[in-house]
Amino acid sequence: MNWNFMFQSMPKLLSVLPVTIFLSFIGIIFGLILAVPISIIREKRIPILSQLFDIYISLFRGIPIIVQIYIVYYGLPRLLFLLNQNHPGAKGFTMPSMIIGIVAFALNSSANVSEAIRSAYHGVDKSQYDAALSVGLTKASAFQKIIIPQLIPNFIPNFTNILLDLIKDTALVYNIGIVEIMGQANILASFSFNYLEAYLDALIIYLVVCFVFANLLSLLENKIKKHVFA
Amino acid sequence: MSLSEIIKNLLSGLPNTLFILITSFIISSVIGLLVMWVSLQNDKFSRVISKIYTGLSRGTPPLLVLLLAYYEFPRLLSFVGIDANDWSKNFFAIFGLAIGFGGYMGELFRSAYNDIDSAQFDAAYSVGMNKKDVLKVIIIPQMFTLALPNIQTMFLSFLKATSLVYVIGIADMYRDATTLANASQGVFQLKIFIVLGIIYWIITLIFEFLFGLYIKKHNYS
Amino acid sequence: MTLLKINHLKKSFNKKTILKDVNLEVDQGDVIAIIGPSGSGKTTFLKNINLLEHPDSGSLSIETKKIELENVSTQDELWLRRHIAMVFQNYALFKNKNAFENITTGLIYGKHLDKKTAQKIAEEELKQVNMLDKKDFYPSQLSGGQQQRIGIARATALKPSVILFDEPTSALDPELVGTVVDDIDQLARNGQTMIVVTHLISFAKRIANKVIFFENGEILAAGTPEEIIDHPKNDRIKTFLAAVSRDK
Repeated sequence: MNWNFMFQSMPKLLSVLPVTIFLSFIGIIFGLILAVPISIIREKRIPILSQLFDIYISLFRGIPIIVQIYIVYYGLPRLLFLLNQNHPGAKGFTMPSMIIGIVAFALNSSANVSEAIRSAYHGVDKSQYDAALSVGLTKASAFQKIIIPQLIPNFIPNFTNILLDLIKDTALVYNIGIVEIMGQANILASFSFNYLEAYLDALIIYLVVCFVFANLLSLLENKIKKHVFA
Repeated sequence: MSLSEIIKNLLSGLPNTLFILITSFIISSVIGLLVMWVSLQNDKFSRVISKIYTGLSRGTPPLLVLLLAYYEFPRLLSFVGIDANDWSKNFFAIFGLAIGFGGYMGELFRSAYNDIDSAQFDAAYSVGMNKKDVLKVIIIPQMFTLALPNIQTMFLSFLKATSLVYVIGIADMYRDATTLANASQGVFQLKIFIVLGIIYWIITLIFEFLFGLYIKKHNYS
Repeated sequence: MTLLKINHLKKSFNKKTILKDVNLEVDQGDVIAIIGPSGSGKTTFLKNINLLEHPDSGSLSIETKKIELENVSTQDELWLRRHIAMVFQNYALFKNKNAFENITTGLIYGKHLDKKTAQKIAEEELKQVNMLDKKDFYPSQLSGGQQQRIGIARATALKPSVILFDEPTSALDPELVGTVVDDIDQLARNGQTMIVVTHLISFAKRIANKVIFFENGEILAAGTPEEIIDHPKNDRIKTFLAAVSRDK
């Protein structure tokens, strides 16, 4: 095993770590933004919309992420093209892979995060809401002051899992041309077939990144718990 | 290619995927039970080992697990003097996935075990049962029932991980299929992946339904 | 006739002494009520008798056998549990077994009876507590009172020399307490030797022939119900009983 290669490749791999982090974070933030209205619609059981979103969630959780990535990769440019056919320069436009990656991850995580919000919401004792109303709070205040603060500590562990899965899934986007850790590892390894060494370097980076974020979020959860429940 | 031809082509690879899925899941469950057993031992060494393995398992991208298993497991075996060049690639995928996800399965079983009311242990011991019987007759059946929903989720995760190599293979196959202009390029590939997506979706729905039935039948709370 | 003798039972945990030096003599047919404040070690004491928890030192003689409690062998432990049964505060019925199986499980796996004999005994026991019609019901489908009566049946089915009751009624709704109390009373009338930890003073007076006041890990006083409850000599006991009757 080529230790020298492993040692030398590490900094080169770390140089693309920001791409991985950027992709997963922007993806999950947009996912979170999408997930909130989706969860609200599903909880309120708004006719038609909630059924549609039920299917939306079933699709994004049932289809492998790699297939989702390819569908967005081939589908998004096509969709934009169809919407903008008369625009000059439409035919020559190539979409940056990064945008495709972010869209794919945003859509995928919106489904998972919506489920996480839902389970966190149901984890809060029902009588809390009743008690809030009974002392005169409005529905909105009850949510804002009582329900949501209790929901968040429930939510964080599931959110952590989704984020970590997303970080690991970024390993797939080298297939659509984004150079992140796996992509860079493949490039470096292809020169003299040091695949094992490159993959092990990549593995170490993923492990450390996941470990760090898992612990950070755990600390955050404890802090919030202390703040909410004293 | 017509739609029905596409569907036929894609379905031809699925039996293999399902075979890998079921075998690797079963082996991984066994590994998970082992990890759980180790993590419940009283000595610090066992607990540290199981924690490390679980951490490795949960921090590794499935793709990396598969790649390492496919390309490097044979190399590893050759160091021990085993020539694995002719072994089926499936074998490595199965063991790669089983070992890679073993930590997740261990966590799953461990938390189900911890959710069992400790009074169940007391009651079982109090009627004179020995440790083996307590586990076999009372604890493990309850652990299994508690774990079922999570087992379902993990099974579906396995399905998606198993699909990786197959899908990447397809994508490589069809990547250069067309030479049309930029933005209209890729209609063919889009069709393929949408069909593939729907196939996996249907398989997922079928398994969710089957699991749902089983859980309903075995749920005594 | 002395059935059970407990000598110098001591137990500490994390440098804290939980049971100081407990000695107890139980005669055949005795119904001993243990009362006292929570946290005094009453439940721990019971659990140390049937070795669900392990004493640091002491000895136990039951019938003709004497057991040193410091390092009990597995064999002795299993033997002991065939002679001393327990009824739990939260019933602790096996969640994955129905009422009938809850009783047969101990008979088959604990007493090693064959299936047919075990089933016969289980049927008898269920008849005794008027629960035969519920034999296929799972604990989750039964009320607290019903579960506790099955819990009692599970213990009596083992035909033990002594039955330990750990606050048998404290998890029950008030209207269900009566039936369980009656069942225990009936057992007493039939001559079953029992040690009952309870905070129902009226219950203690009704069924017990000996009352023990337990506090801070030791027996503060022991005597007849009249001596301990009606005419307590110790100030601590007086305070305790006054507080309990105030709660009523």
